Amino acid sequence: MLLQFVLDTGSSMFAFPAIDQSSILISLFKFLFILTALCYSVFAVIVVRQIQIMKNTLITSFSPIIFFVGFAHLLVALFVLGLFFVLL
Amino acid sequence: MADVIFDSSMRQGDPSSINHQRKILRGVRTKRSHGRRAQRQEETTSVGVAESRSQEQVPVRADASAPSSQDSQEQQITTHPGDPTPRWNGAHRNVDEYSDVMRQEKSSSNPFASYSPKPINFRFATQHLDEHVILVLRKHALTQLPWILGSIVFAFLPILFSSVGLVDFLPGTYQFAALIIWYLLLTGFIIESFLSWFFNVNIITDERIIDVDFLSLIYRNISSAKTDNIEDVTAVTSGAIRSLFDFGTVFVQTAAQQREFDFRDVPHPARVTKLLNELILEEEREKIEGRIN
Repeated sequence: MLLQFVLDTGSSMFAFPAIDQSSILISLFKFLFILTALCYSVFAVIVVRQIQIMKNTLITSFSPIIFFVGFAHLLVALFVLGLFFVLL
Repeated sequence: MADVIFDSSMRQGDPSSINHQRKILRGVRTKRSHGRRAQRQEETTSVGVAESRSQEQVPVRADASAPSSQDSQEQQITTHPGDPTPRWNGAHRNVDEYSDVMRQEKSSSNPFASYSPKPINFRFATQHLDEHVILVLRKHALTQLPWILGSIVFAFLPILFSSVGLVDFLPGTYQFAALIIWYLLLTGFIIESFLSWFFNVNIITDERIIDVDFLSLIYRNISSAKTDNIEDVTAVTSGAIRSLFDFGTVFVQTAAQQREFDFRDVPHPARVTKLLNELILEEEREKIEGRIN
């Protein structure tokens, strides 16, 4: 109710410029998507770091491939973050 | 001496092991060249000077029989006719010599194996120079089924959402962004689950047992106990699925700082228990025979 009152510019006694409710919702989603992509990029960095540590702890023939996958995963996460900044 | 065999037990990729192999090879080459030189000299000298020829060969033989460092390294690995398994004549015997379990197992080169006996191309950070990995254990592949099936279900959920029209209130670009976020999170879940399984290993060497716990991305615990600190080994297989697919938990009580090691949901728990008992026996035998470094 309070939100409706705040957003409903017609009922306001002050002459605020008209604010579209859907644009606020869209902005909220935009903020959430970018925040998620940012958090995910941090997660991807932690994954790469952990793979690096574990690769040195357990040396197997597959460890370099895992490291490569982790690094590719980080690049994808950064690409998505950049894409969201451009696209949204 | 030409039948020196290099195998997984020499830890391929290890710089120290490579240097060790190079030294041995250098020793073999030197002997071969000495042999060829001696042969050439033998061919050029006449039959009448057999005594002088034999005298010329003496220094070569003396070199070959001299207790150089190369030779002493060479003597550590020998093979027996008909048995390609190298035998370590030093403090430790080869595991095949005293373990019935390992004698029946072939070396594993599969990095994803849950039960990996005498693994090829496998080392760990704190491995000693003369320490050999005998068995690497992970959780049985069946225990990973829940997250694999879950991931497959989650991969198809966006189709359901779009058919219901759950995100229709968003513009097309935002729907696309939501889809990307969904699959990104799913990828993260899959990677984290796989890494937790892949790096969560139990290692049995000819000297100790090592438990590497990689429970999550922010929790890692590595503990080890020497074989002669093992006090009690118990294998527990409970439930129909575990009995059917032969996997269970092996509890190892030790006198080390970490009192108990548990190898959770590992394949062939009975075999693992038997192997650990054989290792304890061998350790005691080493003590009795004075083969401890």
